[in-house]
Amino acid sequence: MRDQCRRGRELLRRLADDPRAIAERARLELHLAECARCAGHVRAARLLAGAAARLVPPPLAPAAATALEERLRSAIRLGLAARAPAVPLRRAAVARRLALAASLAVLVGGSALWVFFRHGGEGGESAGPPAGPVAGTIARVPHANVEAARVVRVTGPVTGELVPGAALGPGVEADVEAGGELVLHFANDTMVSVHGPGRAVMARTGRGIILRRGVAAVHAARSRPGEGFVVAAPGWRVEVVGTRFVVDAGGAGVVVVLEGTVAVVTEVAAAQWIVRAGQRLVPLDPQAGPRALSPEEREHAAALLPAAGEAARAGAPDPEPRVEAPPAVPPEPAPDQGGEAKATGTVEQPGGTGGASAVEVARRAMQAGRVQDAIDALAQKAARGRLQRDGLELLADAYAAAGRIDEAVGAYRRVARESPRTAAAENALYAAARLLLERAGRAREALEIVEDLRREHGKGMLAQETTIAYFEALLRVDDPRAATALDDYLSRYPNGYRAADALFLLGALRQAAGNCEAAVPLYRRLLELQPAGPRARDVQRRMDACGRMTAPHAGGGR
Amino acid sequence: MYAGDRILAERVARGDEDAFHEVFHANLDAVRGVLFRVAGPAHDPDDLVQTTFLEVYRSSGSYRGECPYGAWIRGVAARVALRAVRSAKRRAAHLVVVEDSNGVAEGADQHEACVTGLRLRRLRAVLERLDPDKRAVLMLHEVEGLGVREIAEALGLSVAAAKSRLLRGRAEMVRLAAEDRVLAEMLAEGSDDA
Repeated sequence: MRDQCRRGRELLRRLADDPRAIAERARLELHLAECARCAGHVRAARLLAGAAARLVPPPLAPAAATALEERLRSAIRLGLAARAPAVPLRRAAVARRLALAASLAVLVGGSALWVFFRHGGEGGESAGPPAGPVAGTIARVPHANVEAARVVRVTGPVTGELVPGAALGPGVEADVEAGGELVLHFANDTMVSVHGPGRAVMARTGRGIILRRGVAAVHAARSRPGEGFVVAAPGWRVEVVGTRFVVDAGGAGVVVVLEGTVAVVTEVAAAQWIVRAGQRLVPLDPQAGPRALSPEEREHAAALLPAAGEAARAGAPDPEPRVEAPPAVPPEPAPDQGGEAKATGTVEQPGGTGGASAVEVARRAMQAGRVQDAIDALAQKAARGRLQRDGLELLADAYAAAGRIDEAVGAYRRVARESPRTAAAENALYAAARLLLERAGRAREALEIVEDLRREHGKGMLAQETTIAYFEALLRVDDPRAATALDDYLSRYPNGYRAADALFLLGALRQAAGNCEAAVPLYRRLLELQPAGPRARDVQRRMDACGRMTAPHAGGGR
Repeated sequence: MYAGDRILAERVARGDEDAFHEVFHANLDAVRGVLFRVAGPAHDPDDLVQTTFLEVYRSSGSYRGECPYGAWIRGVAARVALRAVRSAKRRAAHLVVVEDSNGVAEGADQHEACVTGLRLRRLRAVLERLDPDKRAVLMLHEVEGLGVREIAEALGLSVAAAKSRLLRGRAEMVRLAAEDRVLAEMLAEGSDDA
């Protein structure tokens, strides 16, 4: 009764190769929908496996665990040479970086766009140009092996690895000292100029930066809807649909639009404005509202823009060889802790708020790969409720890096609880969901979190990622809603950055169901999006197979 | 692929005590779970845990980062558990009733707790009737979420052998459960509130 049919056996055999292969899982799901025998077998197996997971040994007392570890250490020490120096550990949760400070985002669509930011810094540092050398440094390199942007030009002396040609990976923090200017070129031809004192973090998507302080001028290349360049900074968010505009985010922030249309959203007041060309807006001013630009304001904004010719020139391939940015370990400031910048503009002193120094210690420990030290520095403060959001996020990252999934998820959830409906909450929940999905294989718990995310942050900055995570989680728990999740994604983000993945999966799903008529258009769209993408050959093969199936002499009356 | 995990494993292999501390505490519960489900409660859990982590220390240098380090460690635990079972010769030696470790339930929960305990005991009995090799593969796949290739590597099997044991073990588990009155009832209810 619970035995499988031949087709079901074959599908299960294929899925066994990789339980996370979502295309195979999708095929099985389709089969289960029409084969009661296999459905019964799979359901029974899942129920029993779920129950087996609850067969756990009695908990081990902490003292017993410690004693056990001590015994092990003693045994190991007998065969040990001198202790080797630790190697810096790359941080695991890069996704979090996108919205870590992301209360302000600029989503740019259309052709050539200029975006300006002027931000007073997390610690209320002086906006005036401090004395001292002009310099740029890479503050943190979590994923230097993946390129988000490349340095085109650095103005002023350089003390770090921020040299022309250097590749900056997602999550990299670049500091530009007072008076300096760092010009970056992104893969989609967007140009960003960061004016010092400033700090920019490369976004995970490769299409944006988080501007922690300073001034950034962005010349965003023409992009498809949903693939606009993103600039994020604390406090508020700007969504832009238009062409040429300037944002000055100093103090309460200013948005100056030169061309096109800008939508400004604040997190705190949940307000939204449309700012048009020739207008300006102070987003954090409670009396905010768009008003006409003065000629001086227009002139000031225009003066801060990098040379248009430079953007055009940088669009061409760089003759210089690309250089991977090596991990650099300059002193790491503690953002959001009320510090004041030193004259160099790269180091902030911890302020009087609770947990600042612990956060700094933990950050340095993480940079050095000493995850446990980072946890030790923060865990007690967290337990006493004296850790601010930034520290909690760091603690969660540290737990995740240490493989302490439950604690990491707990910390991420706490971030979300303590800062509800903020970008940080969205980011933390997303990180928790990915952790459960990818590292722990606990898809059902991940699904619960993703559903929360969709409910609370359906239009958030990670909406696309969330939708994909939703689909993946549904597939893994064999939820029939998975079949419609791809359609939802493609209808909401027809040109989203995961659209190619979605098109492929949906096409495979349709093809597996024998519906080539529906599959082929999806494959064609995929090839239009990524004609030379990694899946191009496979897609072409699938289209050929469909062609054979539907050919009159081969397919008959299909 | 798992570059961070690989660095951690290299640190463990080099004898970095901090790294070992992290790895030990991060994986202790998971390792104990694998040992318990594969080897059964009759084996000295502390001994097996110790053997597992010594093995992790010795062979972390061979971890290539193709799967999460935690999954690789669970594979090591399964290998240790299998060795223990094989050396014990007789599977029946660890047909031991699983104690409900969730404490004593009260009132209305007492009935559910009884049912849960009974179902877990029956499931344990079913699993004990499986061949240890199949049980190890099945538990690593179904409970720990490892892929067949990862399991094959962990247990020193060919991929085909691991896949075959998985599918046969799963079919056998379902068949045995369907023959068991208590588990058949659970399956009919469609709830895994074992």
